[in-house]
Amino acid sequence: MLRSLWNGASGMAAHAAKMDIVANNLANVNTTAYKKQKAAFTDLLYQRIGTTGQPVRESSSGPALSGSGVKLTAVSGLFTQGPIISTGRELDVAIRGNGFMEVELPNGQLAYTRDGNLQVDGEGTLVHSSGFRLSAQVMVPAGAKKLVIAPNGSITATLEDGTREEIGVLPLYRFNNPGGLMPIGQNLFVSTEESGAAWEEVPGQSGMGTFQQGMLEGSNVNLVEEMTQMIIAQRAYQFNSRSVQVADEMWGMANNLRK
Amino acid sequence: MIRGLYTAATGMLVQELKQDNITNNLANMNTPGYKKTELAVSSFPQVLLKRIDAIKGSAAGTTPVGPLNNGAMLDEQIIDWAEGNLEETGNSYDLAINGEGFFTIETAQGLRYTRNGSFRLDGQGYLVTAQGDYVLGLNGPILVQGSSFTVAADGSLTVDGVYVDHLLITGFPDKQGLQKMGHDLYSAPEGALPRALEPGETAVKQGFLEKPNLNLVNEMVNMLAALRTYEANQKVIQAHDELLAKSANEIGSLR
Repeated sequence: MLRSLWNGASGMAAHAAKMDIVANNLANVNTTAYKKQKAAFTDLLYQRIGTTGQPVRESSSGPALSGSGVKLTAVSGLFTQGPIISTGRELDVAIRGNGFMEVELPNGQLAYTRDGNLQVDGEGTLVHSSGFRLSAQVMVPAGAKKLVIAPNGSITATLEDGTREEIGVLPLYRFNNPGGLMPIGQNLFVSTEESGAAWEEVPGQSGMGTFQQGMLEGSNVNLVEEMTQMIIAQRAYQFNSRSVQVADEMWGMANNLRK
Repeated sequence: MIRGLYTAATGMLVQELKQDNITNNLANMNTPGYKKTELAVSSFPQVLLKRIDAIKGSAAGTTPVGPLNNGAMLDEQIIDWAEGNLEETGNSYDLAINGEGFFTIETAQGLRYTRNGSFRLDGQGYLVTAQGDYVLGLNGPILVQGSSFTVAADGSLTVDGVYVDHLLITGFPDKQGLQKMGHDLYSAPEGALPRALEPGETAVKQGFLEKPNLNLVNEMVNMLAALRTYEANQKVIQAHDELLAKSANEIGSLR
């Protein structure tokens, strides 16, 4: 009976976590380049019944086992392509296909992003929307009139006197398992043991994506799907709370054996 | 009369075990590839009740009264192998088996089998389960290095258009002895005769997961039935308690 209680409680905890994940996906339905997250469940260990004085027959087909509920095993990002939305802004760049841009955090650590809402900071360096510099270190010359970011990542500026100059190249980075990247907020991810280390590739080559200037990648959250997941999580929570209630009721009965 | 107390107590204990089983099924109502378990309850073997005759020296010494049961016990646990519905997830590392068989997993404890195809890649690019154990192909662990990973219905794996391996789908002539080990894994007993299924015997679907084969209405009804049976047995114990109280305190009391 205690086991029923814990089984129900584990179900409630796991589905409450699923609900948190769904709610976070819904909150980020309009976040640039947001990648939806998904909860994965697995059952817990099984224990042999019959060692504690319960009436159980020794069966020929193996011992009867009692399960101990469910747990959330992994929360992984789903890195499918989000919709490409045209913004017309010169410094917006979307990645169509595989790959990440690399950003240098103030502490020297590297982070990865698909959010291409770039800015120019006070010193003329290209920065990510969070204000952190791209590790490609692209300097925009003062007075540059026009910036062109080619699909292969090369950035060309038209200077004041009308001449054109290549001022830098944006490479793309890829991972063995992007699903294992850890989000750290501000549309940034850091690599983990799960994701493997990043390596550099040339955009448009060996299966990598390309840059699209004047566009941003939208969130890949599908509202209908998330609402369905929300209903599933809520109802599962209810079912499991019923398990706890019934266990409580049974315990009450055992408690009232002696009136 | 006192025997009745123990009989009713076995009833309560068995319903408790049933409830544990049902709550475990309910807790796993969103676990991919979960197979529900059911408990079979049977009665203890019947015994013949005899009365020891009061008259000494009679031929038999005892007179049969009739058969008697001493309550209920858990007979067997049954895993329901019925196939669950397939749900589309769109994730290319989510696989489902449409038909017979299990994915074969290499763990530190040996080979394990699962129907939960919610896989992912690890840091080196190997196809692994949520726990990080290797999913096996015909030639061992499966290395995926590339951007597009496709699994055909016959279990053949292609990375960026290049054939890599076939998924090792294991089948059993008799699934009865398979045991749940947690983490959606099953272990096979000695002599279970596992065999790699040929392409065509079963089908793999990429981008799908198998839902648990639970019927929620049934589980809830079973839960209520177990609760009320538990209650009925509790009432029997209480009635016995009252009877015992009567014989102990009222029979022969002088008032």
